[in-house]
Formats: sequence, structure tokens, C-alpha cells
Amino acid sequence: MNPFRWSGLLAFIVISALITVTGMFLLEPFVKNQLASYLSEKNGATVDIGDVRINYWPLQMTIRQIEIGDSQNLNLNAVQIERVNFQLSVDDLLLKKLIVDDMSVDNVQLETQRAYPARIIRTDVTKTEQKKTEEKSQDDSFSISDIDLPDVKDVLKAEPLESTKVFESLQKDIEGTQNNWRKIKQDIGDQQRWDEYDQRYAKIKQGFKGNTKEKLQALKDARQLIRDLKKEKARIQQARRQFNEDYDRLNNEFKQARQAPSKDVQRIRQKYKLDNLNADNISQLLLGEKATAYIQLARRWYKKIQPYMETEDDVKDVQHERSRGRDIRFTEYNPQPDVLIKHVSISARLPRGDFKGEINNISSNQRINRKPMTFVLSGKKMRKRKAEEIKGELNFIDPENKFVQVDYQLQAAQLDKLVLSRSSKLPLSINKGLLNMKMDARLADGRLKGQALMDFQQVVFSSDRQTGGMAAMLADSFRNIKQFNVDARFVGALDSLQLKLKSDLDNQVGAQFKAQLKQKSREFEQQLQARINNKFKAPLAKLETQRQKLNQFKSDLDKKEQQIQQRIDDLKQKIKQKENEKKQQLKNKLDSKKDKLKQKLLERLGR
Amino acid sequence: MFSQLIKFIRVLSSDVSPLQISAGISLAMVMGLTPLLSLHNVLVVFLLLVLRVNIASFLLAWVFFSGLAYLFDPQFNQLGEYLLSRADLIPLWTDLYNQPIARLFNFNNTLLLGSLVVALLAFIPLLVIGNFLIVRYRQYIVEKFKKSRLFKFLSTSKWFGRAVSLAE
Repeated sequence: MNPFRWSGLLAFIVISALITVTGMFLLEPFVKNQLASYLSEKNGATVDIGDVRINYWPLQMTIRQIEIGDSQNLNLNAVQIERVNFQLSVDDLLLKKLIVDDMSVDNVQLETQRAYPARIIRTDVTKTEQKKTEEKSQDDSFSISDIDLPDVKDVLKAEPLESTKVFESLQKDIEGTQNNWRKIKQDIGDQQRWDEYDQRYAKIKQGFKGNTKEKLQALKDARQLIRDLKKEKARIQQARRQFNEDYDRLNNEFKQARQAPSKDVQRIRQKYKLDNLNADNISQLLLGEKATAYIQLARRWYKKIQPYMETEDDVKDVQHERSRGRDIRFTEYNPQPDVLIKHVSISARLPRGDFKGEINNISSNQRINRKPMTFVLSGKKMRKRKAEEIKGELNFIDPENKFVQVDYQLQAAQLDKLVLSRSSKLPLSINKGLLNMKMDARLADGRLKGQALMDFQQVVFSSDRQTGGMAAMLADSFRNIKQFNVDARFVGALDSLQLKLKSDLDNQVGAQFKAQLKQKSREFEQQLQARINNKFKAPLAKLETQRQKLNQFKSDLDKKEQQIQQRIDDLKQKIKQKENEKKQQLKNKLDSKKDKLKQKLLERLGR
Repeated sequence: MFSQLIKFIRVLSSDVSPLQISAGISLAMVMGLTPLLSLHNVLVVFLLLVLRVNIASFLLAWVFFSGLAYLFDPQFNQLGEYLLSRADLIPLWTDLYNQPIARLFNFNNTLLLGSLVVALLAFIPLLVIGNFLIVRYRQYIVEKFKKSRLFKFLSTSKWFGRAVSLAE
């Protein structure tokens, strides 16, 4: 029997051909859908792709009309690209690598209107959006109104005073100490015990007047009483020592309570930056908001492109379809990252002008191809500016030393109604002017560090102020400024950047304004001090009275100790007196016996 | 499924070559034990169609071995892991890994390699043992069954005839 089924071979060829042809027809929509869903997932909001065309020999792909929805504004495309074209290497594809030598990205536009609203794909994007909204509201609060002095009443309502806590604590301590001393006083002044001592004293006095036996007993009792009284005296002395300690502590606390209102004033002063309230930081207040807004914008764009820049781990294992298999990687003779686009030429059409540029070495793993990604975009046919260029490097070659470096240059940009402050008290803007700017920023270890040097020329300030006072004074001081420079330095984590601005604007604003501001600041401080002092005047007086009352304890102790000492001295004297009397009696007795014996002896000798 | 079973029983009892049936079962084992969407399975389909292999037995056995594969996936995975990490085999894997065609076979997947090695090792034994068992089945069981009362009863039963025709 023939082991081959030739009809089967024919069936296999037909089936294979059918699958190949169907695959060729279906591949383009399949790639389009896969690419759109992959990009949407990365972007967090809908990414639409108009059309994907694949040419099989040579293998070439053209993607048209890519619309990347803006997750922050679903009616807009963050980026819209008219055409992306690139050629693929079949050999590399068989090795599961996407290697592109040359790619062209034509007609990139930013923030274009969408035909229909995009959808949010990842929920964490909405959270980011909320966070950004919060950030935005914080930005809005950063305005020229910061230089206006706050109302003292409002400050006192808003600020919890430390003095209150100190006073409450002192009050509690005084009350506690008083209670303690009341008990000690009761113990020391126990009338029953003192009456008993008096009785014993009276009895001793009586005993001294009695016969010899009674006198001897009285002497013994007197010595015992002295010992007991000495114990009482020791207790009083101990109590006095404790009292002194308590008294010193309360005195210290009282001193602190007296100083607390002043400290509160100092703290509020620092918090409301009263010390800095002068023209020295006017550039920070005026331009800080604008600079912060630009930093936010840069941060927003960085976060948008960040998912596309994540470098894959070269030892990452790919889970198989059956979900248990693992794709093991072996050494490659010609190591290449999974995705490598060696060169991309870009053309972009933005409202400010047309840009042309290139990106080199877009790699899914720079550690393999050992080349950083670089980009440069230069403006051509610019509107309202002479030139603009942005270039940068994303270097992830060494995992320990990853960094992103961006340099930006702007030449002779015409400023038209650049709003510096939206404060209703002092709306300030630059009506006209020219700006030259150089900026460099470096992001490494999650920290951004950079500097922007700005040179403003032919400046015309304008302010539609409606109120007088300080705002008017400030607005006037800008009238004669025609040029100024700004040196902005920023450093810190991306979400909490510290911005320092230096500008010769501060020097130009005028000495008079500074003096008046200082005067206002002083007045504010005095008002604040008076109000706080007034608030704590009565409680302080009450505490003082309570403290004075404690002194009464001290005098009571002194009095008691004096009494005891007097009693002890008295008893000692009496004992001494009685002992002397006894000695005298004995001496007299001995003398009379001596005389009698002498008399008897003389009588006998006389006989 | 039932129809496939009926067909398979018929084929077992018919005069179809036992080798064709066991070859179908063996090819089904390769396809069933290994992940379906793998390039080597195209070769299996090619052999199935070009060689005179019994397709009914292939289809039934494929279902059976696919079920079996899910039970033994962890063991296949372990075997693949062991083979791919053996120091003496690493030069071979590295060579293959750098060949575009070899990469298409996804040999570096632990599950695929483990299951494919088991399937290939079991292929010839299954072919031989299957062939032997089918011959013995026809010699003893089918003959005895044909002489049994049950067969006579079933062959005269209208219900059984209808069920078989429906299944067919």
C-alpha cells in the first residue's frame, strides 16, 4: 500500500495558501488594532490609527493618521502624526527583534481637535489628572496677592497659638502642685498631733516640779519628745526642699508662658514671610508662578512620554500562552535590543512654526546597543521668534548612572501680553518685549536639576489696577523698567521641585517701595503682638496670683519649723537646767556628808 | 465527540491498517501534549495529511492528549527548565537561539521543549505498542464480542441502529 496520500499534500498546499492569503489580508487590520490597543494602554487614553499598510518585499510599513488622545483633555489629541514610514529587516523579525534603520515621522502636530472624544484606558491616568488639577489649583494660588499683608484678625483665627498650649499646661501644673501642697500642709499642720506634743510638753514641765522619781521620768520623756520633734523638723525640711523644686519648675514654666506670646509673634512672622516682605523677592513672586507653570508643563510632557521610554529588563522572562512556560534567553552572537530604531527623521507643524529634527537610537534596552537616545528639534520659519531649538539625550546605558539631559534655546521671542500676575489686587503683565532664553535640565536618580537664563528686553509693563495702596505703589515702580534678566535654578524631585529665582528686577523696583513695605510689615507685627498680648493678659495675671499663693505654703513651713525649733530649744534648756540642779544637789549632799565626817573625825581626835 | 468515538470504534474493528491508526494516535500525542500554536505542529499537520494516517483516530486522540497535557504541564515545564539550563547543552541552545529559523520553533520555552521531548521520546514506543494492541484487539476482543449475545441484541435493536446512524 502506498504510504503517501498525495491528495493530502494538495490539501496541505491549498490550506497553507488560503491561510497565507487570508493572513495577508487580515494582517494589516490586525497590526492596526494591536498597535492601537498597545499605544492606548501605554498612553492611558485612546490612540486611533487611520491606516496601516504593509509592503512585503522589501518589508515596509506605513502608518497613517496616528491620533494620540490627551488624557487630560479628552477632546484633544496630545499628538497627531500624519504619517510614519519604516522598513523592517526580515532576519531580525525572525529573531523576534524589531530593528528599523530609518524611520520618517511626518507632520507632527500638538493639541489638535479630535473628531470624537477619547476614552480613558487606564484609571491611574484619571488619578494623575486629579493630582494635576490639585497642582494647578496650587499654582493658581501662587500669585502677587502673596505680598499683600494678611489681616491680623484672620491670621489669629487661622493660626493655632502655641501660647494657649503653654498656658494650659502651666495652669494644670499649678493646680496639681497646689493640690499636692494642700495635702502636705494638712499632714504637717495635723492639729491632733501637735496637741499631743503640747500635752507631752506640759506633762514634762509638771514632772520637773515633782519628786526625784517624777523628775527622772520627765527627763526621759523630754529626751523622747526632742527626738520626735527632730523627726517633725526633718519632714518639714524635706517638704521645703520639694517645695523649692516645685517652685523653681513653676517659675521656669511661668517664664516660658510670659515669653510664649512673643514666640508666637515670631513664628507667625516667619510663616507669613514678613521678614522677606520686601522688593528683594518680588521677582520670585512675580515670575515664580510663570516658571512653575512652565516646569509643570515640562513635567506633564515628561510623564506623557515616560511610558514609551521605559527600558526593558534584559533578563525578563516572557510568560507563555499556557501561562506556565518560560522563555529562556541565551547569549546572542550579535546582541540587539528587542526594539531598535536607529534613526528617525521628524517634521512637525506647530502654531509657533515648523520644526524639523531627528531622533537617534530609540532602543528598548540601551544596555545592549550601548548608545544613548539623542534628539534634536529645530524651528524653521518661526512665527514671533527668531529661532528655537531643543535637544537632549536619554542615557540609560549604565543602570547606576541613568540620566536625561535636555537643552533648550529661544532667540528673540516676541512677548505679547504675557500675564505675570492674575491677582485681582495687582494684575500685571508684559505688554510687549523680547525674550532670549537658554535652559538646561538634567534628570538623574529621580531628581531634576537645571538652570534657565532669561533676558527680557524692550519690555513694556502694564497693570490695570483698580485699587490703591501697596498694589498701586508696586505697579508704579515697574513703569520705568525696560529690560531685566532672570536666573532661574530648579532642583529636587520631579513632584516637589525647589525653584530659586534671581533677577535684577528686584534692584530696579525701588528703595521707596522697600521702605514702605518694611513699615507695613512692622505695623502688622505690632498689631499682632498687641492682640496676642491682650489675649493672654488676664490668664497671665491669674497664674501670677496662683503662683503668689504658693508662697504662703513656704511661710507656713518656716513658721512651723521655727515653732518646733523653739520647742526643742526650750526642752533642751530645761533638761540642762534640771541636770545642773541635780548635780548641785548631789554636790551639796556630798559636801554636807564630808563636813559631818570631818566633824566626827575632829571630835575623836580631840578626845 | 460521540460520533468521533463511534468512528474510532468502527475504525478499530475495520480493516484499516493498525499502523495507520497508531500513527494517527502518535501524531495526535505530539500535537496534544505540546502548545497548539507552535511551528512544529504545522509539520505534524503536514505529516497527518501527506502520510496515510487515520484522521478519526488522530482527532479523538488529540482531544485526549490535550486534556492530559494540562495535567502534566508542570512536569513538562520542569523538564524543559532542566534541559535548557544544563551546562553541557547550553552551547547547542545558544547556537539554535542565534538561528532565525530555530527561534521560530520557540524551542527556548520551557513548557514547549519539555512537552516536545516527552512526545518525541514516546512517539515510536506508542506507535509500536499501539499497533500491537490494535492487532490483538481485533484478534481476540472483536471476534469474541461479535459472538456475544449483547452484540446480537444490539445489532437487532432499532434504537442502537438509530443512535449509530445519528452519530455518523
